[in-house]
Amino acid sequence: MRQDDRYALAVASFGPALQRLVRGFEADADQRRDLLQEIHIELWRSLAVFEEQCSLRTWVYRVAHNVYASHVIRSRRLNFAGALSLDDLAAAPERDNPEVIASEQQAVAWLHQTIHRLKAPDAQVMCLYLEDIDAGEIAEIVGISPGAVATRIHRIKTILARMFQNGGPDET
Amino acid sequence: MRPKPEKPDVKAIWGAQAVEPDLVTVEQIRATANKFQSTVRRRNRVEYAAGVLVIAGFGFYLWIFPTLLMRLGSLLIIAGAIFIMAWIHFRASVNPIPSQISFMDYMSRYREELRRQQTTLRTVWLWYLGPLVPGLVLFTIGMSRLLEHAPGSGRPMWPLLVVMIGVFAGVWLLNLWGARKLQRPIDELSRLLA
Repeated sequence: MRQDDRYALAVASFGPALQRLVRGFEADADQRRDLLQEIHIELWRSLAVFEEQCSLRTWVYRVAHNVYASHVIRSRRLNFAGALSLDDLAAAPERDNPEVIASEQQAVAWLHQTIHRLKAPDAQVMCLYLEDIDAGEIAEIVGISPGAVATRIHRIKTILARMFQNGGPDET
Repeated sequence: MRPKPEKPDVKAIWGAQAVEPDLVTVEQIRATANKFQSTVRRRNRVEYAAGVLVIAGFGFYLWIFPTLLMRLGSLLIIAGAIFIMAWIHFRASVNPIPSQISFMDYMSRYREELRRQQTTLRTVWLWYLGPLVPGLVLFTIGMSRLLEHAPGSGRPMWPLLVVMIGVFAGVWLLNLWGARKLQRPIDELSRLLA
């Protein structure tokens, strides 16, 4: 398959997912647009050497992860003041959560707000979890151990459970 | 006892987010480059048509006006119009970007095109406005002298001069604005190519 065809397939399959990831990664609209563009260019470039070493999905997310990591380092936000870890957020008092989440739109807005407060690596794990990627694949994408990912997912579930305190999240 | 509300599927809610139609992809950069080149081609066609009209109009003046100044002015304006068309043809026409080249080369070629068109717009005084000035000045002076001797004509020429200067200044500023607008895509491409 040609590079352009691979790219077209990747965009058709994971284009919307990349948009969702970038929305979680970056709060600033202009920077988000730049980041998404950069991911697409890098994805296109990387597909020249893609030889199905892993699934196309893992490859696409890994490219997004690498570009985002460079973006974070470039913008010096790796550990910017005020960023929380999942541990911090899970242990935060209840008042940090909205009292009622009335609509799906509100829920998505709250998810974005929550992810934007997180340190970059934790934000990535949370976005990938929400994309329904399992711990093993997240570990492969982000480059941390499956055990560390599982711990983070546990924290994410705690946070989400609090968020939907009326019904509780569906922890699939 | 109140029934427990149904559990919302957070992942489904996350996955159901609307995607933006203005997503910037590799394909979109290609589409933008094609659109830009079509705009340049259209602009050039309009300029060629305007040049032909100017040549025809002032060719007619060359034939009907009796004074040397007006004829010389017409001749210089025709020469100016030919110079402008030649400049557009040799310096500002579209260099098609082949789609078979690698995307990095494609972006690089697209950036070159943008820079070339930006320079064209920035130097509009040199190749577009400047070449018309001598002819227009001579033609206006000639017309002014002709009108001085016309019976019942006491209208001053300065309002026409003011309008002409205004039009020239407007064209110059519009082109500078166009050149400035091209800086953003040039910067974006430079960042991606870095």
